[in-house]
Amino acid sequence: MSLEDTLQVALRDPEALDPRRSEAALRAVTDAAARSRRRGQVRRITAATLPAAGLAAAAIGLWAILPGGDEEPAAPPVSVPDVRGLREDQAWARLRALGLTADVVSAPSALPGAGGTVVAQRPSPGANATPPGGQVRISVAEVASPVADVGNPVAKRVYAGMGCIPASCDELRLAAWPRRGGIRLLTATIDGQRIRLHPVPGTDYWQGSLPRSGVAARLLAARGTLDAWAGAGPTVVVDVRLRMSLADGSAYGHRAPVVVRPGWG
Amino acid sequence: MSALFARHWPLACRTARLLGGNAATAEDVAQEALVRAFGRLHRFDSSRRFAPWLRRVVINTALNHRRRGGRLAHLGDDTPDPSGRAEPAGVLRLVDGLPEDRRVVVLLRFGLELTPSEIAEALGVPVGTVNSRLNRALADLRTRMEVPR
Repeated sequence: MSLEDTLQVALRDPEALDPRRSEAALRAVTDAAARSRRRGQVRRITAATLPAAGLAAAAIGLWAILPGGDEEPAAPPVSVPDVRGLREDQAWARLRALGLTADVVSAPSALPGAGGTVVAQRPSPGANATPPGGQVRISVAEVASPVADVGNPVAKRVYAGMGCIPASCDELRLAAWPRRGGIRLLTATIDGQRIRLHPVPGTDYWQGSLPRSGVAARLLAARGTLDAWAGAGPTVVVDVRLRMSLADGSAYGHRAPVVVRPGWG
Repeated sequence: MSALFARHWPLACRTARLLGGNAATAEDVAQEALVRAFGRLHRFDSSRRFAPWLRRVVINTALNHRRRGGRLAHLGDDTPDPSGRAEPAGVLRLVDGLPEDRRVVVLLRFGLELTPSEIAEALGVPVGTVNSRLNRALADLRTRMEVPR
């Protein structure tokens, strides 16, 4: 047998796919495609752009993601709840229960003790919104805190090794405000959705709820240590753990260090 | 969407399994790649062919995962790998020991049965580079295996 034949035999792949795993992947891909559709810039993939040979896809009418171009039936609208006064994670949970999502913006904290709570929302309570994915913009009051003068707030776009997480996520971004003696992590952004992190009592971690349809998730970010001074400010290595639990009881986790440096965007 | 997914999911898993070197995480890597690709569908240039573009995303994701070392804690699922696949033996071990650029072209050529042109397109290198890496890889393997041409 020639080497080429030997390689072809050796690299044969008899492994069957796990149907449950395939279903989870389909859900994740569908979520990602839906987000792409909402961005409203998708072009149609026609049969002409696909390889010509052996394409059953052309015969079954393959469509790309266009607004209204998929087979999902339209859900009835729901009444937007009043989430003002709630903590950000509570507001997320309330909206998620109705199939809605939150677009978080920061707002100056005008009232003592209002930091971290929702101070305004749009649309107003009682307005109609359409799940899944109907968006409610919530303004969350900033938590007043001293920030050391070490340069710009940092945000490092990284892929924190989300490969083992059965959910749609292609970007994890942390925002850290270094200050003397340590860092203060305030927000994490996953796929454009900002998650406010709150300190976990008795630990060195911050915790935030990850709103994801059908998935209970928790993002833990360690306080990290000041690694070195680099230019405008310190380099911080943050230990990030993401744990996600699915409705069927399985759980997945990933842990990876994330380097956060001032001045990066 | 389901049809598109069904068409590309098996090949994405196979690609991830071949290139990533870890059967246990292959489906996770494949999912990561497809999610990344479908999440950016709005930026896809429809004048290009979709399947090669998707293949390139999957290949890059699998290679990046392997380079990162794929640290993960797989919690809550104690089911052993049903394939019972042991460590690569014989020729697979030799392939795994090749330099990365040669290992990849060997796997794409003989594992996925891609043509040199398809491999070149997937890796973003000239066809001549693919052929050169392939020839060197085969020569290296033959030397180690003492396999006649």
